[in-house]
Amino acid sequence: MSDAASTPSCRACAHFVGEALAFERELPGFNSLSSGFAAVRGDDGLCKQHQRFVSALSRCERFASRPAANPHARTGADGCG
Amino acid sequence: MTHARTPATGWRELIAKDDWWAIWIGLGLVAAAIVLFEFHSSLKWIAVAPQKWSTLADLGAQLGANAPRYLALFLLWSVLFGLATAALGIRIAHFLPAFLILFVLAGLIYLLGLWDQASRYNLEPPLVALLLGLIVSNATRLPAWFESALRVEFYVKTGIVLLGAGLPFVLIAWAGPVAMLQAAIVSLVTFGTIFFVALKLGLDKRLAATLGAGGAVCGVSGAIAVAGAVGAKKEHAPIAITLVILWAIVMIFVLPLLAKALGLATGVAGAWIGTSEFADAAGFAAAQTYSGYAGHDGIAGTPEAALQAFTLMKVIGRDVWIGVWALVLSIVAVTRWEKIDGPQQRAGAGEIWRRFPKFVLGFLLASAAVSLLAGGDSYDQYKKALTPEVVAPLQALRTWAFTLCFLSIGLTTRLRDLAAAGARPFYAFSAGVAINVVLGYMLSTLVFGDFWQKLGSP
Repeated sequence: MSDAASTPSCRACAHFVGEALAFERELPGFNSLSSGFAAVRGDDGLCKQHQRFVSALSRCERFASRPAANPHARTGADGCG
Repeated sequence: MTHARTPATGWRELIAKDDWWAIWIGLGLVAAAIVLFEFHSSLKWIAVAPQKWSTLADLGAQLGANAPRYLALFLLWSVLFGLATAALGIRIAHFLPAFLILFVLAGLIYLLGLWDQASRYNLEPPLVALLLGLIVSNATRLPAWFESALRVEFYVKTGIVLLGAGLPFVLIAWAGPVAMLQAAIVSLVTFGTIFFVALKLGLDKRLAATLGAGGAVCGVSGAIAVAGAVGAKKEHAPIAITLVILWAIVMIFVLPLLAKALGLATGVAGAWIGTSEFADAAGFAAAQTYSGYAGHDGIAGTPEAALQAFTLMKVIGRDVWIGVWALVLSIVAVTRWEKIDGPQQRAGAGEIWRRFPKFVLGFLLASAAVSLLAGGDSYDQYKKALTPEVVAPLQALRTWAFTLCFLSIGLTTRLRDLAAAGARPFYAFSAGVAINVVLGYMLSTLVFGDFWQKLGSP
């Protein structure tokens, strides 16, 4: 735990789902009339810790660093759930 | 859950958002059409569009004669959309076979719409595409790889940019302010209705705002943008998604039928649909359906006017304001509503640009480019020279993009995946729908009726 103001933004948080295809998978039916890639979504994503929509620029004291990316890991970017 | 990719920021957004890819593809095609025109050539050959047919023999002959053109068009779309989807992170090995199937189905629907008996059986291509998609997606389980090609928003945005090429810039300047005024009135009243009815029914303020934006601004995209701006709970979004999709699909069928029964001219009906539909893709399905009624059963106005009025009203009048809605509601949420347990939201003026639907820039630039090309030409010269060589091929490509979109709406709308919205959100949203439809009709016919009628005069 740390002071929210001193933590990095949600963009880098392990709880933050901001990548477009991952975001679409979180919301069944979403891409029927919209898109995770749409500009109107801005930098928003889903905070899995608080179960809320948040901006990537937000900060909170429950920030958790992401584990280092595995270069061999698939991003799941295949457009399907 | 963790994930390796991070959201698009800065310059990366230019290849990481489908808005920008719609601009690159749409404006690239417009530029190609203009360059070819300057060299006394045209995109006509590759921008193949089916012609009217009456017998299967006619159809076979038409397809046989144009087979190389259809193949070339498929290759063109595959390269353009394939490049874009690969850049967006979608696997190309999944996209290409799926797109082939989608393209063939879209072609069949496009062809069916040009059967000389199609209007007798109400076989309007947008409605056929939507119904076919709904039946397939709800009766079967589509393979996951096939969904790679079902990019509703990407196709509709590309179509909107291409639509700009057929809309003279002076017309946008002339009609834009009226569209903004009409849209502002309806958006404010619809949002207010949904929001206050929702609060009266005891719903959370953040859910009320999410529902309001979904009904008043730009459907699911508007709902998600505002959900992010106000810090809505995760379960709020599926409720808004369900209600927007259900009402949007109902309106695709109801609005054109109602407008036809009332004998509205194409421009007037397009403005009404633009005021009262919730999502761009669904609205284009309704507006394109209505454009097919032009000249039949006493429906006055050009077919194009339904799409043009819809675009002015929905895209210029409503969509472009989503950033302002998000900013204002974000400030209200932070300063006036109870504090939430979670990350601190930051609201700034930059929100307006961040959330601006960038494809609108492509639409405006496409219009400006073709208008500049026309220069001081008279309307007759424009129709004689530019329409067949530049505008018509771009319109054919636009129809392809829209047909891919309409089919994708149906194929991605699985009723079993939609969350139960609950009675209270349903009542609140439906109250907004009722007010919106009535007010939209009054403004489009009584207050600004003459104006929208003029837009559709041949």
